[in-house]
Amino acid sequence: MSIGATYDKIIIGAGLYGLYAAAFCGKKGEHVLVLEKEPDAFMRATYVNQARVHLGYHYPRSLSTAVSTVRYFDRFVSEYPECIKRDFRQVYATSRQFSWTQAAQFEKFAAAAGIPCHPVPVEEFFKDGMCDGAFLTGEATFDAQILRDSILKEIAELPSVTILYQHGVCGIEQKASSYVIKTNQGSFESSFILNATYAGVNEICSMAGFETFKIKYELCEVILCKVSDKLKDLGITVMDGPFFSVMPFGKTGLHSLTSVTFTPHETSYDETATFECQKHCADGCRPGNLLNCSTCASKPKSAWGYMSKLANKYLKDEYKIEYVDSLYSMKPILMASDVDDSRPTCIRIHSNEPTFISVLSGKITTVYDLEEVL
Amino acid sequence: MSIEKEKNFVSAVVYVRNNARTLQAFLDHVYSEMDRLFNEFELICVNDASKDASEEIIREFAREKDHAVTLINMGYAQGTELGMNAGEDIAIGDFVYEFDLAAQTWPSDMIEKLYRKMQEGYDIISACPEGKGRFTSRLFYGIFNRYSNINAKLRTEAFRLTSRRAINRVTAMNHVQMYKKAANANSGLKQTFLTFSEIKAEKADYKSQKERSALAMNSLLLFTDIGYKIAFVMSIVMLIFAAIVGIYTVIVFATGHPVEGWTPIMIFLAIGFFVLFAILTFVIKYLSLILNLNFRRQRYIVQDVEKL
Repeated sequence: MSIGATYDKIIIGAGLYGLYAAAFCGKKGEHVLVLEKEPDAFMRATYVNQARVHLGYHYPRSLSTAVSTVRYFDRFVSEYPECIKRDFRQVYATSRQFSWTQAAQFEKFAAAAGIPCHPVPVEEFFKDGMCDGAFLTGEATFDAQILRDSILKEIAELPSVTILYQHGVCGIEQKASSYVIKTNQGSFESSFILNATYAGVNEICSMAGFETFKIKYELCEVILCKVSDKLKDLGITVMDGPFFSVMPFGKTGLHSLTSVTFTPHETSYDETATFECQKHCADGCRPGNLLNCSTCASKPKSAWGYMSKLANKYLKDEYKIEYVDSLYSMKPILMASDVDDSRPTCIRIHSNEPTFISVLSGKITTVYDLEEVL
Repeated sequence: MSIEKEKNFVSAVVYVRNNARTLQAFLDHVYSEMDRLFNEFELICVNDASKDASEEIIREFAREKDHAVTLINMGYAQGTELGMNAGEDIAIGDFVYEFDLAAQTWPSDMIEKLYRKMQEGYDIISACPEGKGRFTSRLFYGIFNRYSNINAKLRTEAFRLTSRRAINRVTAMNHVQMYKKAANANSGLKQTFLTFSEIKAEKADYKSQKERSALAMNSLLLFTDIGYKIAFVMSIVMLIFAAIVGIYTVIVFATGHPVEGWTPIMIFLAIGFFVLFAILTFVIKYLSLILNLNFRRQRYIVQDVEKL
């Protein structure tokens, strides 16, 4: 392919943010090209996470994050009802020891954020003395596969949107009024670029010569598990510190098991994700070209032993968890957000005319933030 | 020879306070023993505001060890007891080793010996150095064992192994354990100790001097009734003494010729002190009741229940 394929907008990354932006612009009749490194959409972080549709409960130390999350929850749930699962009890509990937030504070925070939070007996779920408060909340889970199918179906009806899979970006060149995006399978040109690559955000920024985000990278493991009947219609999240969460993984019938301390396996503080395991990766994963951790042969050994023990320490013995599979993905965390544990959506406009925008967000529902810049 | 590793998840909690000198060797020892014995294990280092290089040594040690090492940095120095409480609250193992001092004073096979002994059906096993120990320790344990109604006899311990069951039991009994060893002994679960001869020439101090005296006083007051007994006996003695003084005053008034004003003063003092000590006796009784209600939350402590 030669240069010449010109689009109104080029979006890098076919995760939720990339595809949402593509559909949004496609509906306006714009010619949009989505470039995706993987052979399919939603292969990385959009799929590999807790599948939580945040309603703010996760941020008891950052009311602003909580409030903005609430705003988007209803919209997301009503726009993609087919991928939302709400027919389960989502319980949040505060650990008696080592929690940054106590039960009373959590309740107060929920009231301030205006989100439902009904105290339930701690003894119903937890071993004696482990938690000081448990609350029934209104949170939901989403099914990434169903969400992907919905959005792809939406896009299929928009003839002006093209998605090219297995097109990894390898260079970006700025011209007078446009950018040329070079991939392993040809170059494409547009005066509007959206960088929606999440963990790859700095790779793309540095190719274009823009300032990178101050982030650290965590190589994270989400464990998929089968649970006993008592836990089937139950999601449990113990906060706010080195704890765990076990909750339905979309509509798959499985639960995801994650923990604050054991889910991240390794951390990289470099500009682009740099890990020891990349040295052993035969497929060519390296700093500046991060590949899929889930399908990688040199992914870390599962922390199932640790995570399940942690969950068992808290949960009553009747709640049983059985290992099924591990998913891995790279999680970029803005360095500024460590203290208050907030997860702001970061949209950075690097240049105007030609426009180059990077977006970095850890939550699916804040995808609507994009609309202002598209 | 390959040994089948144990399937149980085992945690080791280490209290670290300015142990840079011995820490590296200690961590190597514990880690290699755990790795040799157990399939899954974790090492939790509680750094109690060390001022030396202890924290760096732990961080360096933890490199490349994925999830096996956890570091807890205490906000300020809070002593062995609270530090170990914190470590234990984080520990997720079925069995937990507790090391009060980050220095290896025991032969290398002690860790395994304790675990094997555990399999015989104990919930708490201590590794105790042989020999009599220092005089103050002997005095303390002597008084403690004499005046507490705990079955298990306490002695100087280097480290111990407890089951999850024991930890849960002790946690349920008291939220904050003032004195872990006594709380363990108080749990009513089956326990024993193994002795070893210290491999170091110098005797190790498993707790600092200052901490030891404070802890000794507190635990004597909490776990034994010696404080109550002494106070109670003394106030009874004073009560009787005040009564005798009263009687003596009456006798002198009846038989002799006391200085004017002496009798009323003495009568007032005798009655006053009598009432004061009577009140004190009640107050002490009340205090000991309140202490018991607060401190020993569970009404009774059983070892186990058997259907025969």
